[in-house]
Amino acid sequence: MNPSILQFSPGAFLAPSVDWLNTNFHPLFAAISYLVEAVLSGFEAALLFVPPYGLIAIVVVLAFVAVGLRAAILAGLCLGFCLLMGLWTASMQTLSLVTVAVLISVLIAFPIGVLCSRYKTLEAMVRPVLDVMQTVPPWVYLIPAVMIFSLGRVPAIIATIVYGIPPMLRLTTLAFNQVPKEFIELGSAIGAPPRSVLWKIEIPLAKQTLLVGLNQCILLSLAMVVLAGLVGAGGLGAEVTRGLTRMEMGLGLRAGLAIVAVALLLDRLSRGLLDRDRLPKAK
Amino acid sequence: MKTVTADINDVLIDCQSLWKVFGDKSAAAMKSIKERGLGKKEVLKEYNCVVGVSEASLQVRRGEIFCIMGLSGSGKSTLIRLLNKLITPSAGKVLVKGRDLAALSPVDLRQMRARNIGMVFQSVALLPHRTVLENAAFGLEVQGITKPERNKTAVAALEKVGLADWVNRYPGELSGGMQQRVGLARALASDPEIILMDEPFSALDPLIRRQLQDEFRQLTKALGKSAVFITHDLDEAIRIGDRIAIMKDGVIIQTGTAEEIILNPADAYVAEFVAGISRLHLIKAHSVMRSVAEFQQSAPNSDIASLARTTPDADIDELITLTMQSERDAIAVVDNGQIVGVVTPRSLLMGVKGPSAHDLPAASTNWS
Amino acid sequence: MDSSGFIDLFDEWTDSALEWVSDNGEFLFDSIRQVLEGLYAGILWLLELPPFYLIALIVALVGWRLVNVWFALLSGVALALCFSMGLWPETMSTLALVLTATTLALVIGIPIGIMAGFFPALDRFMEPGLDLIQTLPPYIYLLPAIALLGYGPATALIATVIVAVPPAIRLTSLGIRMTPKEFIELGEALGMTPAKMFFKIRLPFALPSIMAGINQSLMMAFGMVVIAGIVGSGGLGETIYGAIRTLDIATSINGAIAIVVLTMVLDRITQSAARLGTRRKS
Repeated sequence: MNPSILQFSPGAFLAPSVDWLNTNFHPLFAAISYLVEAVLSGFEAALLFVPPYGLIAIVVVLAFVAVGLRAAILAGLCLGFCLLMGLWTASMQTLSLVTVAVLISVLIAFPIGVLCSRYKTLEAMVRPVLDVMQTVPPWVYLIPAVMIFSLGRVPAIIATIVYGIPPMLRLTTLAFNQVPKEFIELGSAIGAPPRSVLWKIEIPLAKQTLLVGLNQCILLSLAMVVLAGLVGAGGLGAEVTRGLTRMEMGLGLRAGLAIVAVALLLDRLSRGLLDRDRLPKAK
Repeated sequence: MKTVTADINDVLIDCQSLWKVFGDKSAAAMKSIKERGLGKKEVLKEYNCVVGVSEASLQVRRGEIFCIMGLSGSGKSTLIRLLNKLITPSAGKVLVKGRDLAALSPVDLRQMRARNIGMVFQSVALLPHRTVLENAAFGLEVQGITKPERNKTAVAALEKVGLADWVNRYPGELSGGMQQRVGLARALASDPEIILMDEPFSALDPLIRRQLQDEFRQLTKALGKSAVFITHDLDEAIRIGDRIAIMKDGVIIQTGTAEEIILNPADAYVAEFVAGISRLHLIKAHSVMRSVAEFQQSAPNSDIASLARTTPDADIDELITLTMQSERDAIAVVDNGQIVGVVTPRSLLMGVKGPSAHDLPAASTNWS
Repeated sequence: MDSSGFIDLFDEWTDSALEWVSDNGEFLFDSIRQVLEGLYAGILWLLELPPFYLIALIVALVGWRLVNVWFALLSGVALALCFSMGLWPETMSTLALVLTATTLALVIGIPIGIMAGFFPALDRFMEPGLDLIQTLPPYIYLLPAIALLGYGPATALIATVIVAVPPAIRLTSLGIRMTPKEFIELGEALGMTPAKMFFKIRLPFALPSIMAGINQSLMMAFGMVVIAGIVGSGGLGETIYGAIRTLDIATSINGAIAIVVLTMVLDRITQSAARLGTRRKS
């Protein structure tokens, strides 16, 4: 069925190079692993250190201050639900993965996005890369990550970071491109130094679109983190996997509902920031 | 319109042979223009570049309001942006307060823009998420001035434009005219010597426009500032400006006072523009009077000393009134106690009507 | 609060509820499973019938017609590559899965989208639901599917259809609503029957949006492939899932290449078809 003449396995061809990478760059990868694990563990420990009710209270208060009453109530309900389902630890694991991943994604994507809006040649180079990155399904990122970092949280977060960059980058570029030219001109005309123009003029005017980018980044990262439960990332994804593979429907359902709760929480909070930012209406 | 005499010797802005060519190959095109004297069409064909401003020279004196008037595409928006180097010239020099803009370091240029040259935009560009006060203080904020101080200055500026009660509102709550006043306050807050105004009143409705034109002129003169004001409306230019430059296709066709332009339009294009302007208040006695000798020749028996008198600055409207009130046929124009000229009804009529079209050169076509 | 007691109760309750549903609904679910597996098997049979080079050729020709000659060459070669990697059966299996799922999603989604386009109330009603489906990680849609249909292609299909339906509905609805007012007025002024109006005026204007919806549905379906591999859907999904778990680098790379190739080829083709529709209209 498969004439040996035509047999060609790029995988077999490339596999040795991955092995080579693994052996030669091992210290580098080990260092990255260590660093990532340290940050994640620290974050997780912080979240789990606070007793659940305390943390819920903190989040509710923060939500109330930053967004509004409805968001605060929703936050309380969602987190309370996770607690009720007996999945507090797993939820916190998932949340810490998402938070750390999004922070790093934004740190990488934001500056590049701003540069892309300023320099069209850079944007032209970056755009096809982003196109490919967004066509490719999420789990593809898991493959190289797992191959290098083995199973566990590290490949999960690395894949998530990479997956979260394109939407944030694209929307950052869009946000800055959409700032009306007259405001940039204003900045020049009043003799504002470039940093002032960025912080005082461009960012405030780009805020709405930037927040949309953040919202997208958060949701996609959550999807990826859940998926990464397949490769030993822990968290709610692992619980779903366990429920599925062992046909423990109760566990699976609880984990699934907890994921819904977390997704709602993150989505409403980030969108709430967006609405809050709307301008005072004209009379 | 009272005019505070501008100081002819104190030139704040000096433009020398400014050129601006837009396009990828603008440098090469500029070179060709200098060497071969290419026209606009040829530049477009050969280099795919557009000539925005060509060979523009002008001077703005201290305390003077200088209007640049032209239709869309005349290059006036480009020219005003050359004055604070928002656009870099392809050739020529811009000297502000004696300093060459091209020679300034980026930091010095920013300082110049922050402290010496203010700008008001057509679209106002008020930051929507900041209050009126914060917007007015914005220019000071980027200079690093502390909050209490800059707020104080901003409030004073807002008082000057009559918006002191609106300090805590947001731009979205203000009408177009009020927003434009905030823009002006913002420019005034830094106390620059020169204010550049880019068609600030074009987007407003006619009655508000009139009001703002008058207010602006009064305020600028009271504060002793110079202004460069661009507009497509000749009426506005005459109302506001001490001197006017008329632009077409990137070239300054004529520069002068309203009176000079109306009396001596440089070509048929300018003449057509001024045709609709009422000359009653713009033409003065000194432009229509006959010399004493001429008058004595045509009316030898007239006693000049007993004619009704007026000053050289009297406009046609006054002269007509005087002529109708007097029983005689002429008015004597007196300057410093001396009779310098006589205004006859005939010369008055000539002043009202203006020169006829075929006395003038055809509209400049060197750029077609 | 003693949550562990509650949790045990919850689990028990879930298990018994599921038992009840699968017992009583056995007939329903079995027939659903059979229909789905039947559809899948049918399409798979079609795809497995011709030898690989014929399929590669057909895809290349379609690519040439819709995109350009370079794309056609590339896609032909890429498909042949799938064969030479020894993954042809899995590739066809995945393709069958995706095509079946997308077709089902379109059959469900487009009519609903059309109705939503005509009745804004329906649109508004569905909006939060669609939002929810698209916000949640697709992984969890496997849960109800597995509970009711067990392992196998049927489960994978259901989960994929759920994920692929929202874009079809949304973009169809958008397309219907996007007909410029002037043309609706024109149709009415000419005294067109509603049916004629629909086919001659609204549909042409809605077409680009609908095509975009088809493209998006397809892409969503592809996104589910590996996830579906967990539940025994066969195909490249299962290949990759297995390879990741066993850290088999070579196979996982091969499988990934195959899916990415398949995804990009179909993506480009459907996008070009959408653009072609737009251009012909103007």
